[in-house]
Amino acid sequence: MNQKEEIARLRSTRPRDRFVRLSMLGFAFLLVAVWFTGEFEVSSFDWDRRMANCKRFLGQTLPFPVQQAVDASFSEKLRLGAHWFSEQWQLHGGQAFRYTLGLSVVAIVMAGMASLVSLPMASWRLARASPYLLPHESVARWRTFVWGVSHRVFRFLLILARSIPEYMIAFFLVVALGFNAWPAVLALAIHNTGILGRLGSELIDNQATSGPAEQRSLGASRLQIYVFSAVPNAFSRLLLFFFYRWETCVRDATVLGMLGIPTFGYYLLEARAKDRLDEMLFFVLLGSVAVLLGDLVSMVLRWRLRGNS
Amino acid sequence: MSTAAQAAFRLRDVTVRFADLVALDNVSLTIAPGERVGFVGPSGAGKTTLLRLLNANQQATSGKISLLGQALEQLDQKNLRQVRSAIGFIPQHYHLVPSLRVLQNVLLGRLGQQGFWASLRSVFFSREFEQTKVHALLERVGIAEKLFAKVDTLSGGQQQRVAIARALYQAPQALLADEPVASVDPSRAEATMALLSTLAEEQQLTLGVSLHDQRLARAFLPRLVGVRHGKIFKDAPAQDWTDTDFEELYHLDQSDLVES
Amino acid sequence: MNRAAHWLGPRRSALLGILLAGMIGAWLIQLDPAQLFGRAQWHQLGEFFKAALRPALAYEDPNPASDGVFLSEIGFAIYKTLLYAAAAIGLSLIGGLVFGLIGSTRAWLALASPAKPFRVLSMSSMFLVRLVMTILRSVHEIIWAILFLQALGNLPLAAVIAIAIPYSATLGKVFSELIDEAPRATAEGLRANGASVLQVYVFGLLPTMLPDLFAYLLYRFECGLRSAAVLGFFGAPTLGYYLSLSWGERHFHEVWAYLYALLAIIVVCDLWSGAVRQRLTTHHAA
Repeated sequence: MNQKEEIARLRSTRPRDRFVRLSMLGFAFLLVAVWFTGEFEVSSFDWDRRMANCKRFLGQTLPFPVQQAVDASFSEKLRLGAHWFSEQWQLHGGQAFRYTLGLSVVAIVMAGMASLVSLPMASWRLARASPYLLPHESVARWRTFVWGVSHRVFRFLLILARSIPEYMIAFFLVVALGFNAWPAVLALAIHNTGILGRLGSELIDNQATSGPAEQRSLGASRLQIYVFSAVPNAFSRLLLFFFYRWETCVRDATVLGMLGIPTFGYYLLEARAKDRLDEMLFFVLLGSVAVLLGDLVSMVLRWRLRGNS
Repeated sequence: MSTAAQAAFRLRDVTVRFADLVALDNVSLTIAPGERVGFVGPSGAGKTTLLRLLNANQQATSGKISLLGQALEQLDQKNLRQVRSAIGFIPQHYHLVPSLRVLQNVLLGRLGQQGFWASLRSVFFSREFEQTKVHALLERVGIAEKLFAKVDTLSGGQQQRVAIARALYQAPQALLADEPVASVDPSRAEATMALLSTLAEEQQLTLGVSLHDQRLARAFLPRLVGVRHGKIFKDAPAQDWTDTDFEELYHLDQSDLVES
Repeated sequence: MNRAAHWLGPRRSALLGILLAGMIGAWLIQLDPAQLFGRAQWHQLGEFFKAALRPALAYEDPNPASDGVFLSEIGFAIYKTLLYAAAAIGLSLIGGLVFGLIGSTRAWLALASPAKPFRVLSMSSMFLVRLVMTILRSVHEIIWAILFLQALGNLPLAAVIAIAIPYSATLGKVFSELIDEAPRATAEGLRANGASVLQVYVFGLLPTMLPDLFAYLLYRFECGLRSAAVLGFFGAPTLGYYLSLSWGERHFHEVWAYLYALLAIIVVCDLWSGAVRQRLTTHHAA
């Protein structure tokens, strides 16, 4: 056989994963193709008007007293601006700040507790007729079946919980619960329970099985294994996920206010309705500061956690 | 100047210092083209630093270095790439790209000689003549069957052969191998050394190999350079090295014990 | 005292601390359980949930002219949602790769020329990019969308860019971490062959990162679908738009039809990315 044929033979028998390859190619095609649908074209005629609009927008985002004081010196403008800021903070800013952070904390704590309770059902190593099966142990068929079905149903519920955007959950709940913190808290808690449940069950399922199997042979029950072995072993990683999700909770809490709950989003829409763009930008920036603060706290806590474990 | 042009590698009074550690202390060494040299000595003696110097991968604290007849301090970025590319280097742990195929990893050997777009074309859309060339090289090192295999599915010995093929694909004038037999099992070690030294002989490459095994060193390398405490301990043809020399080279004294 | 400290331990004190934080939070927002039971109007939602079993297959207001249009409208809404998400992910992939390269410590410190002024420049650009990424990420995509709508008027591209900005920053952060964690030796090996910095990035780092990068990108696409759908509440022609219209008319069967459509594409995407991740990780183990 000559070399050319040999190379062709090797090439045709090369190991490859068609599924992953097709996925990558298909996805790449999707990313490129959307730009040829015409959906996102911008006509240049429009563009001039839009730029003018943009200019007007930027001009009006300066604090109102500063806009008024056209001829004032820079330091005077700075003083006016600072005064305006403290006024806004006292009026609604500080309250929105506390409310957003408080809401995110309550929601993530609820999600954390709910996911801790749900993990024994979400982990496929624990949610089966005989977790960490011992040799020579036999399990009745119907029990295997019942556990299998209920585990799958539970997993599906978790997928549902994380698939519905939290904004939509809150949107629906406002009808029943009115304009208070509950719709936002519950929406964030439900969505994050789904995510923490998935992350946590992956952690437990990837743990070494030798320890739990040993405890099982000593007669430990499913719940005992979960409480005294699985959770303590995964604890620091679980906390990492918890704080990571808290960061996103703060971020999402800022916008849930748009449904009538007094976080930043509420005041932001209110300011827009009154066409007060300076106040609008104030709440955008303050919301950003709240998220950055959350990031910072979470970063310090996670950093300490890594150092300790 | 004329001697520098003749030598493949030439170090004059070279010192390398890391913080407060002197890795190489005032070393001078000349290696002629086509020579096959072994660097022997205990761990931490400076063998790896010496090899990295010969590949322009390590800056000297002081002293003069010329590689392939070019004085290192006179090279600009572009010429430096050319010199590096003309010296095939086989790192101890091979440093292959695990998620790419064998063919692509070997093609990476020419990176230093290609512009960015040319290398992109060559690695991801290789032409027939490139595949033929790589296949021939792999046949030479004994793993032609693995042309399209992913590197992370290969055994350690096979990966080493890929690294050798990659170095050869550079069409180098010199071949440097850092501890090629340290992480290979004993039965393979002899085969690896035989392969390196026949390759060097066939293609008239200058060969530099660092290793511990004195039996292999004497069997395959005509000239041995002993390195100890950052200094050249003995530099002589292999037949002039006695067992006592080796004992002395590897003898631990008080300072070694304190250091480790 | 000692016994109390012993009983507490790191885990129990962490749990207690978290519970305490939760209670302080509840006090801050005046969370009142009575609102959950006593005064709540759950029956209002009852009607909505009853409709869950019978999602609409046609408009609830019978209109002879629109027979069979409803299903095609759902298809259209799905198509638009996919379109917006994909466009946003495409943009953020580009942004994320650039951010990731500049924001990684490794790429700059290990590979760049060791000359001092260059080092100072690369270090400061790294910190600057990381700061910019954090700030861009801290503003929610809905808020970006509102700002753009206000500044540019209603424009499809604005919604896409609104999603792409925080997503670029998030992808950039993840990419820079991937680069920093990629095996150093490979890059140095290529460097020894005479490869340039760009070649090292493309041939040494990208292929090793690719599996993780792709798996993460699919996950972000799933998030992008959610974001795109929600932006419908603010005027983008995605599923959220139609859902909110039907909700306003109390056509709950239609709402469920849209909701099921959204869930279907997200669950399919979730399963897809899960399957890809599983293939890639098992392949790596082999």
